[in-house]
Amino acid sequence: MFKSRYYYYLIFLNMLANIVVFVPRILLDDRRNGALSAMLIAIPLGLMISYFFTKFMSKFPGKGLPEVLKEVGFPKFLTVPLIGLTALLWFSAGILALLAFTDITKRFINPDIGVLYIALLFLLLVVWASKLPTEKVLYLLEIVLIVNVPVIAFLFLKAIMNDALSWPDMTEASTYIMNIPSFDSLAATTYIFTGYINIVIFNRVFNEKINMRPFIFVIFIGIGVVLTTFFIPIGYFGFDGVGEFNFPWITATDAIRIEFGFVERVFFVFLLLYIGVALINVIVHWHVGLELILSILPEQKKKKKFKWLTKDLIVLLIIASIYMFIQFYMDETTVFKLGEWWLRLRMPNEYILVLAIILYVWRKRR
Amino acid sequence: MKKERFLFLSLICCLFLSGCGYKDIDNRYFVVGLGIDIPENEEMKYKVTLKLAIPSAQIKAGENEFVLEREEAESLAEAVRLIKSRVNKELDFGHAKSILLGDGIVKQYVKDELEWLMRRRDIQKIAWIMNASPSADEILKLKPKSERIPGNTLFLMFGENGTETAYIHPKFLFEFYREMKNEGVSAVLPTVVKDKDDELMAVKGAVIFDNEKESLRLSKEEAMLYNALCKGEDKSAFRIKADDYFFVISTDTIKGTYKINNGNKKSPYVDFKVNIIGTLEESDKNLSNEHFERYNRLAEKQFEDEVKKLLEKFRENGVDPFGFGMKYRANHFNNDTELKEWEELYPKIEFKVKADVKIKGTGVIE
Repeated sequence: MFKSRYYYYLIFLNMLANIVVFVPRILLDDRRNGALSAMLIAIPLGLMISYFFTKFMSKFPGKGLPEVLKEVGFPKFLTVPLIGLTALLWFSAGILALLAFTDITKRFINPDIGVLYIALLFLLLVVWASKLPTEKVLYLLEIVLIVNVPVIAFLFLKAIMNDALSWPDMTEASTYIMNIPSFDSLAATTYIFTGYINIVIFNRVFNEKINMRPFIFVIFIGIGVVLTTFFIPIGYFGFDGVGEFNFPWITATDAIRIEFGFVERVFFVFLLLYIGVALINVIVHWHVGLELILSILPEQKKKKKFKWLTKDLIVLLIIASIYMFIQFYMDETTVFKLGEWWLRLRMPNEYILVLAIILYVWRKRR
Repeated sequence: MKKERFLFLSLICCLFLSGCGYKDIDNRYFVVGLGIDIPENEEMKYKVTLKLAIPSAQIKAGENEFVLEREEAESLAEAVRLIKSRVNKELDFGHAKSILLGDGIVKQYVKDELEWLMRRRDIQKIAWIMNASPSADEILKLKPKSERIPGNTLFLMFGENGTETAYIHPKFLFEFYREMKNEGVSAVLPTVVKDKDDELMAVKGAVIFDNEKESLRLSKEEAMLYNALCKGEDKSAFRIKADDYFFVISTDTIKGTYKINNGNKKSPYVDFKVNIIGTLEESDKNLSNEHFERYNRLAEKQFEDEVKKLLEKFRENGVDPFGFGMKYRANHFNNDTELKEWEELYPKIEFKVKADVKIKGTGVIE
């Protein structure tokens, strides 16, 4: 028996986590080349796809995407690559978020600690948690969000209400609205609305139809998140100067000052809160990826030796070692390039998958 | 069994976490002031002065013990590393809330210095940056008697927890960065000078930058007027001269708003409105309550003249600390040409200043 609020948690999680996975940087790099117009297209696009896919999935209560495909008789030779590709996309989402956050931790929280330790620490938690049963991942998500989001929301508010925010700079940014939309920005913005995809697995625990009435809040909060993601760094660092930051949003929180709030430099409070959000984001993505992969892998034979080495652990260890490899053999610029490419590939892939499934089922029903 | 083994393994992993990244607080030297000057040695590029606080067990006035470390080097990073090699504790820039640029430095391009300051993760973006006259060293050396914590005088002056006056225009590092990077606004830094009395420092005047170096210095009256108009700094007092007497208005609110009117290409003008609400504080003649209207008119006349003179001075020197240019850019959609247009427009622009003064009362006595 699962309440639909968990579905909305999943959507909000992605909205919060976009700051970590290069979305602000891509948008701000494009600020003269059609970021804003791309954002305006991405908002209805992202919202519409999530609405329709959720509607579609809630016709099959208690079933994940693998079960749904089996039920509607989707061709077997297509099922495996389809699910494999989604799993791959979702694993790499986790890897990228983890890479970025390791970088942030190393740079801002504790520069004296080795990357290896940060990476191991994060992996230990993430691998353990993404092997949890699906309900437990949701409980974990709820706890993290309830603990962190009120304070994060307060800081967002504080960032917007700041006197030092420069409104002429933000207005100047909005005068670029007539530019031709840029594809990179479109892909980056739709990431903010992509939380609905998690339902391909989490629908297994939603035994009832998801209540779509609160979706109206998703629209408003989504628009708010997209706008703050783009405009807040511009307001703080100026339209001309904002392009030079690696993590514009995270650096922008360093411009917020709460004089009598225990810690004057809000930046650190914000980072500590974001550890939770970034890691639970990775956990959710890896959990979805893992469950999808497990659904297409053949049944495991009973082993005598190495009983603890189950196939979910093997999958996760492979993914973890890919992460470790990138972490140690690639520099920041390459990681950013990877992130950019991932965002570029993600959007068309995801939308083709979703549309293909919906269209197939729709035609079959006719 | 599986779980215990996992727990055990993770505990083993903890053993590898050698020496923690954190250093104890008593092994740290807190930098409370960072000064950059022109070196005496001409082969070097910078002279860096760090004010290092010596913590004391009791906080008492006059117990503001500190160490000054100076080093000259080819680059800022080297200078800091050289200082590190001379002190016994780890330097911590987390509390470096005041950054002082000596007169020599602001006369050069301050681009590289600014980039270094922004690049360092441990330097707060909400640090106050100021121009120190004649040099940062001279100001950091001062030991005001009322200071209870080393370096605190500047923090109190700029933080608006202590003194509040329109003569001081606090500028955060990120604001300075924004103004320096933006086309269409000139950066302004407050100037801190050593007072006649050797123990004190005072904020007097301001420096306006153009093309990343000093271009115009404001006297303390001009700076005060600018601060009052730009920031709405409300704790200011203005002396109004009449034929044979004077009176002083202490302002409750002061607001400068402007509109750029270039509808007529031949004679573009800036509509500058000043709104002041205040009380009479001092006069050398008995002023009667019935003649407020007359005093209002007198004050308006004087404000209009003074503001116009200040604006024309800015125009003559080709600086734009109010950011008219940014406003112009923000209001125009021809993003490729607007800046050029403005640069042609600004030298011949006219200012139409309209003041609106309302004297509300005469304070405690009639």
